[in-house]
Amino acid sequence: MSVPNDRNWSHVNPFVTQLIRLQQDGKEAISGPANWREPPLLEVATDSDDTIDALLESMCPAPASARRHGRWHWLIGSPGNGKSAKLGLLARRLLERGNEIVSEDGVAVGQSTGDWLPYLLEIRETGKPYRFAYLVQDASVVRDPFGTECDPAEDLASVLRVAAARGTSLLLCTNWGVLQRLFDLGHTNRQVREEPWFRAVNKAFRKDAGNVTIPSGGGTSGERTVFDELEVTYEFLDNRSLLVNSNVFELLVEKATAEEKWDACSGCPSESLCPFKANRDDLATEAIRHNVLDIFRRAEVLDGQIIVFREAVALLSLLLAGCPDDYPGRTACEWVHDQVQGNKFFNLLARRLPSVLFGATRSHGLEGPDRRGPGTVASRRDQIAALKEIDELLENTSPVRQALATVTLPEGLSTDIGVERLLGPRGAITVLDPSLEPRHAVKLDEFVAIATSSQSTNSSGSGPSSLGMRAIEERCLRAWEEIFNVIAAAGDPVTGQDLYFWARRWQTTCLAWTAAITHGLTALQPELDNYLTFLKQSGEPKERLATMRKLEDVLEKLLAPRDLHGVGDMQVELATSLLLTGRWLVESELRPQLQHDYGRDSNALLVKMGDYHRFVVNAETFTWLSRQHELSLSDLSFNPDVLETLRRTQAQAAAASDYSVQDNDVGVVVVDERSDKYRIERTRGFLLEPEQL
Amino acid sequence: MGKIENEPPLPACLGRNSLVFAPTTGMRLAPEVLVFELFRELGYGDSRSAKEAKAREFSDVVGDSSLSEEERLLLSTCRGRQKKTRTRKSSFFYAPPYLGLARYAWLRKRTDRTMRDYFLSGPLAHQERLGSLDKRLVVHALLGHRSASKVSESSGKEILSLLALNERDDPPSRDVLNHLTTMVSHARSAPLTNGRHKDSLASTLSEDFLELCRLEKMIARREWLFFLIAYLRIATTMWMLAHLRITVLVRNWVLSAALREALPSLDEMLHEIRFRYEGLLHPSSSPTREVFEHVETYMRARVELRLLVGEIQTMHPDHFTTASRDLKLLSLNQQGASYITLSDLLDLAQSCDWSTVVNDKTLRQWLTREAEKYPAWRSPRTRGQGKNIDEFIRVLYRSSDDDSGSGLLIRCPETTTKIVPGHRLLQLFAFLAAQAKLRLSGKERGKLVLRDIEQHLYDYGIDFRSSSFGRPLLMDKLLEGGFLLGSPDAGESAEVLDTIGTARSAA
Repeated sequence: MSVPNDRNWSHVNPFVTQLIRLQQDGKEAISGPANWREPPLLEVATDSDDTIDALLESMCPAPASARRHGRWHWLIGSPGNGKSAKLGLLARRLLERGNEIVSEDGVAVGQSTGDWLPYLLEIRETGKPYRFAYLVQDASVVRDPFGTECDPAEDLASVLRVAAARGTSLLLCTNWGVLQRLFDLGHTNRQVREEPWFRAVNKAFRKDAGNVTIPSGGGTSGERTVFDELEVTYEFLDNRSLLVNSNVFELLVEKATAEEKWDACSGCPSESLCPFKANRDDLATEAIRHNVLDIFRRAEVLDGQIIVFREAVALLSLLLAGCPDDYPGRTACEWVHDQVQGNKFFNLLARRLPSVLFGATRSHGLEGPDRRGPGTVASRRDQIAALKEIDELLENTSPVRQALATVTLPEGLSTDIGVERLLGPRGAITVLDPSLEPRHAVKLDEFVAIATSSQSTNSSGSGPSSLGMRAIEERCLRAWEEIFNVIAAAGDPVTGQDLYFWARRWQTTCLAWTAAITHGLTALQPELDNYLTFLKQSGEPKERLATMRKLEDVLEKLLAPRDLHGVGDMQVELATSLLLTGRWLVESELRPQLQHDYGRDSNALLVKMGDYHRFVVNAETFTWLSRQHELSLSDLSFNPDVLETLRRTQAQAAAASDYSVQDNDVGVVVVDERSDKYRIERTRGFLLEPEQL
Repeated sequence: MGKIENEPPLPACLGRNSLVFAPTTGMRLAPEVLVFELFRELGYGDSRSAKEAKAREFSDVVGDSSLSEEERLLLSTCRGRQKKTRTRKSSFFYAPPYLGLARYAWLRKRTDRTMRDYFLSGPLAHQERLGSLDKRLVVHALLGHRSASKVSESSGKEILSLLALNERDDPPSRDVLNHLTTMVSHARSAPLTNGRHKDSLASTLSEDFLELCRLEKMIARREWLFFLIAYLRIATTMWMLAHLRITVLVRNWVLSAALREALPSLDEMLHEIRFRYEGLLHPSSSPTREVFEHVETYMRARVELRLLVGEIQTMHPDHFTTASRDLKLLSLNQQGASYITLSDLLDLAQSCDWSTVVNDKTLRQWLTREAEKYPAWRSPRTRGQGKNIDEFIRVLYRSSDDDSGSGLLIRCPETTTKIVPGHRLLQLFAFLAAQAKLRLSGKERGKLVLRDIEQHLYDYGIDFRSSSFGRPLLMDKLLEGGFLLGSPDAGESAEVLDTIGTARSAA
């Protein structure tokens, strides 16, 4: 099938071109003063945005008769959590109100471009000489990068000191590291500790302690203060998932896929085969969007770290505008036109949503990098060699041959696509590849069977589109069919079998990824979803409790000392020669108990042993416990490092449990040098005679 | 031909109690031996009758009639690793849970007394000079704050102290106090500061020891005992390694003086001695010889210093004896008839006519030619005192079995080591760092973070901060132990859990 040449191949959607700027190394990856005057490309309202007007009101000077309170507002969180984005929003509102934002060396926002990121910015009412507020966008950097003795905490202390003395409002973005240093500074220096601004640091440190008001003034210059008092408020952005108990990620997706942004695509000659438009259409479809968001959620809990704002927009940019390395110096739309005109539909498939999520580092869905070791079934080299042989079998004029040529080329599409933590070879999304999950085998086989048979019969209503596939997939399915046909026509049963194996394996991988998106199938799916219900505290509480109880039983059995028959119901191994036992132990808190971490504002399940010993049960451990319960796995398949840590945690909890001074129903089993065991029980304060077991 | 001595003769001014004197030491086959030795020193002053001149180990008495069944079981609760013996009989190392049990075993009479010389009369003695050593606390902790006695009510007492209660024969507390007082009153080296400053290493080690003693009344005895072992392993060794550096520094200064090179000021010398512990050990990605190099450098410096001072003494004999012909000792700056100060020694080295000694060689050439005559200089780790020190340092190695993770070094092939802190050691350091932070900041210490652990390790001479490999290693080990909280992105501000202190303060 050839593409007619009388179409407008210069058609470009400007929104797609702009999206590139959101990638991790893009111009708008970090909100900074240079882009404060324009709203960000993907701006979504968050819960905390409601407070912005009130916050601005309290920061700015009021008419003469009004209040004399200023405001310090601190945004505290790790990199990429959206502090700068929020500061950008605040700055934009301040500019809209007619204020000026000027750096210490007199450069105003709007006068400079690029990576301009001054440490401190002053806010003034236009035409007035004095500043009423300061902005610090990143307190973790130093004020003078060329200074010999730089300390971000000292720099921040000097800003707080000046802001308190002058009574100015302050907007501050910082991470815990700088705050901790500042706290230490005060605790080792009495003079610092007694300065009024240190009370604000102190309060920030106790996350839940509420706000604080500090007096202004006390500077040495005798300058008049802007405000008499400063109310300090805090916003903690760490561990706030955009996906779990939040709809921010979904709002971002909706924003990026809004119809008006993609209207420009209508009339584009490549529209039907454009992977970015197809990705957009998928994400705009509610069911598929939810499947994709579920994949992100599972990846987030599996990794243990949240997907931060910057990663979220970089992901969307990648899905909707591709990888700039594929088309250096050009636009995404121009690249698509090229691929369509050159019949490179496997390239287009490689930039479709499933391929980007699960196979970004495995170009075109081929096998991963070569690893020829024991037990290795598949080899990328063998697969490419087979595809090259197939290439020889195809007719010279066949469009499939043109498409296949792009797959076997050593310089294929870029595999350096950013968001490495999620999409890299061991990325959190990559390992959710549904083809790695044996329990999905039957469903995936059915999916592949329907996809391939219906496309060959092309019966209406049950074609690939009924499986959620779009024109690119249909085109590729036809190409694969042609490939199988030429292998069959070649008539060499030995070689043919090999070629068929590699071609079918390639096709199945790509289709399994598609099934993940259209049918929501991923590896570790039930366990991770179950883990999520614990984190979200959703679902039926009784069911959750019952599951918890079962998993606690698995844990208890796993932790029980081996090779000690007949000692008693429960023992804790304090050392190889000493075991703790007795009825007291059964009633104590040393039995492993699962609980949600309510206290530290983080998404984690903990196993609690004793009153103070906790161990984070990550999604991997949770998955093993669930599968052990369901499938009776061997204990040897449990991560030995985690098991050792769990045992040690239990022994530490036991050691800290005051067992040694309990008067009743506590006992120890001593294993002597001959490996004989003696039980020693304590009751009413007294020890009973040692009893050999 | 007479016997070849390992080292040149010791000039009297460098002898016992001088600034540079390093008492002899020797191999400890298992870390449990350290606590046993401490109990022997403090419980019995390690005085023994003639029939006890030969060593007796717990493994010799476990199973014979000297111990009652209960005592045998009590000892078994604190069993260490199995001995590597050729006989089929399996035997173990033991740490005695109480002082009274230490009466059944002893080291040989003529053995080194490392625990006395490098701990009690080392850091504790320097702290005692400042008058801030709470000796009663130490005695109560060693005897057991919650230990039952035959006459006391058993309710609420430590379970292990009830086992073999009838046979227990702990030494009286006043005897323990007397032994402790005697040992901490006789420092094995001259003062290391000029009186204006405290010695940082001695203070850190002593304060930590007192914290550990306070902890005894709060946790199970067995658990405490193994924390004590972890502490003794590292405290004694780091004190020893730091002490060896003084000899190296003094050798450098004496040689510079003899060569009439520019010398640092006295304040600078004091500073170097005060901070002699800094950067003794560094973690690295590949095994290193750092710890062995300390021993080699020390032994060569020791031989060279003896040669140099011997010549100075020969040229200026009057300066090394008192009016009553007693021999003077080298001190940092301790004035008095019995001492020759470091600056006096350097002045003498500068004023000597070395040309009569070195003949046609340069001083450095002469020193090397003379020093290499001695096996201790040529093979510093296998001959003389260097061998003993090298063997003692092995107490830091993590043995492969039953070590409870309190070691610091892993021995790698080809006589190299890697720093890999064990989990019990890290747990202990989290506690000690938290207590140090609390002492520094008053009633509220804030969060315990990775930086605090790094700082506390640094205060012992283990520098995790300067190498790029240090922090990731420390984080890995803390994570493995379940002590690291918060985001790994937090770097040095990542929160560390003090599992011992948290449980105790909440209780």
